[in-house]
Amino acid sequence: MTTGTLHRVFHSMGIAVHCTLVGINAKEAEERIAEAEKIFNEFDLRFSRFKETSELHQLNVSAGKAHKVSIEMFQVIKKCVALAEQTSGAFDPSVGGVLASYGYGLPKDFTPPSPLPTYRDISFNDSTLEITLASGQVLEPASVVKSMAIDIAAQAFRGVPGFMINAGGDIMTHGKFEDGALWNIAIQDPRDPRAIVGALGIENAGIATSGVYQTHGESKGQKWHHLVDMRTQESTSGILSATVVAPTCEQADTEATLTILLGITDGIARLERTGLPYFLILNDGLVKKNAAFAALEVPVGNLISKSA
Amino acid sequence: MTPFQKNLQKFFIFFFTAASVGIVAIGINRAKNAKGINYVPTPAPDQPTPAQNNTGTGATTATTGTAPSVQGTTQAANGAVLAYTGSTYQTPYGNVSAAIKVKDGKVVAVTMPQLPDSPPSLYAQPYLISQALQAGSANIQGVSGATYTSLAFKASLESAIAAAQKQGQKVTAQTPSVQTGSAASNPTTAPAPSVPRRYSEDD
Repeated sequence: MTTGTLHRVFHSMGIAVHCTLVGINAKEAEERIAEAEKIFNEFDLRFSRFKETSELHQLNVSAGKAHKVSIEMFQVIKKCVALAEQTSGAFDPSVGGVLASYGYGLPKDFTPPSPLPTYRDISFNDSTLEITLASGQVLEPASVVKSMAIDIAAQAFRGVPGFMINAGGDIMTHGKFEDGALWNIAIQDPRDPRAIVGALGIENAGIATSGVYQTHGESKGQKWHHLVDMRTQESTSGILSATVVAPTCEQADTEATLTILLGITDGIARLERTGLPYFLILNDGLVKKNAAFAALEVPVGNLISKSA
Repeated sequence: MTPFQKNLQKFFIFFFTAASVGIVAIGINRAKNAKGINYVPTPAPDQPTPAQNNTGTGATTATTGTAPSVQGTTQAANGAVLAYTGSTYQTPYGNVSAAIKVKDGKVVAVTMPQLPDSPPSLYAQPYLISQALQAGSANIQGVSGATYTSLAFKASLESAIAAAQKQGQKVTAQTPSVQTGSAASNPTTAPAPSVPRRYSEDD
């Protein structure tokens, strides 16, 4: 058998990237995986707030001066500002300053200016590709960048009959799994990482789950997590976990993140407007999902019953 | 129309009428039963006790099939398939009890009848999957969850790789393929369940 199902894992952007390829021979798969890994590493080198050599860090320490950036950086920051405008600043790439002040990522020993600069303080020069930040403004576009990397890395697998890229829980699927089956994706239980709360079958779709349960810590006696509502500059609450299915992983991830940031009422209203399948777990364990999601659901009992 | 055709017509009318009445009766019965299941327990949101301990007992019981705490409501269904219902446990997210079906000594289905499942609102019902996945008995290709970031991730990746290397593999991936009839999956290259293992080693 020269073709089959191949699994490969590489490490990039601080996460495990798990690729599953169906219907491709091992030699070609290795080349494709190497290409995908290269794409991830390029994103990491450019957009990491944890690397002093990254283009993002150079921008973040440009200290209020016009800073020439790559077209990729320019587009990503523009995209972040557009999302900030759509959400009245609940999402704001300036969250980097808040996270850095907690000691999460660079710059080190960062004390954010008061008042904290917002997305409105970012100015763009479209003809020279220059971005000017406010003094002491630190950007973190990570929530957009990772899923973008997944979608672009998926291009490395073009022509492969079926594949899945799973980068730290954000997943892109293409084609079918073995024997024409859908990709069965489970949703992690935000309260118990060893458990799942449901599963769904998808193809040619991205799925992302955003939650307040993985990246968190304590600073000055205050609990924080990485999703900060920049309108209040506090970590949000109300929704434990938001899962969204969309044509691209980037859209799924963006909508999932924004749902958490917007909170229950505004978040669900936005999801309803998009019409995308969604599945939310609220702080009290209550589930909110739409009919589009229910149509994709697969009973977990069916998936764990096929004993080997 | 010959007498035979007339009789045939009468027969069909009688047959379909009887069948319809039967189907309606079954439907009413099912609707009545469903009411009993849809009991909604009140959650206690300010008690963030993880549900894992409680549900764990049920699910472990289910996956191992040894059922020490099973309440003994055994009933034969479809011949050799036996159904068991586990004890009910209270969690902040509702009462949990697991039910399993066993055929020829193997667990063929796990359900949680205690948790309400009436749309549009229901309580997220957790399934402990690490045992199932590690036993290679889950048809799940990926788990969508919030991102792991650097520190937790590095430790977990190293352990995942170490675990895979221990098994003489070059790489790891999360789901050993147990797709029925998947000729392509080769048992010697079946990858270790890295994602669930990562989850279980992280906490």
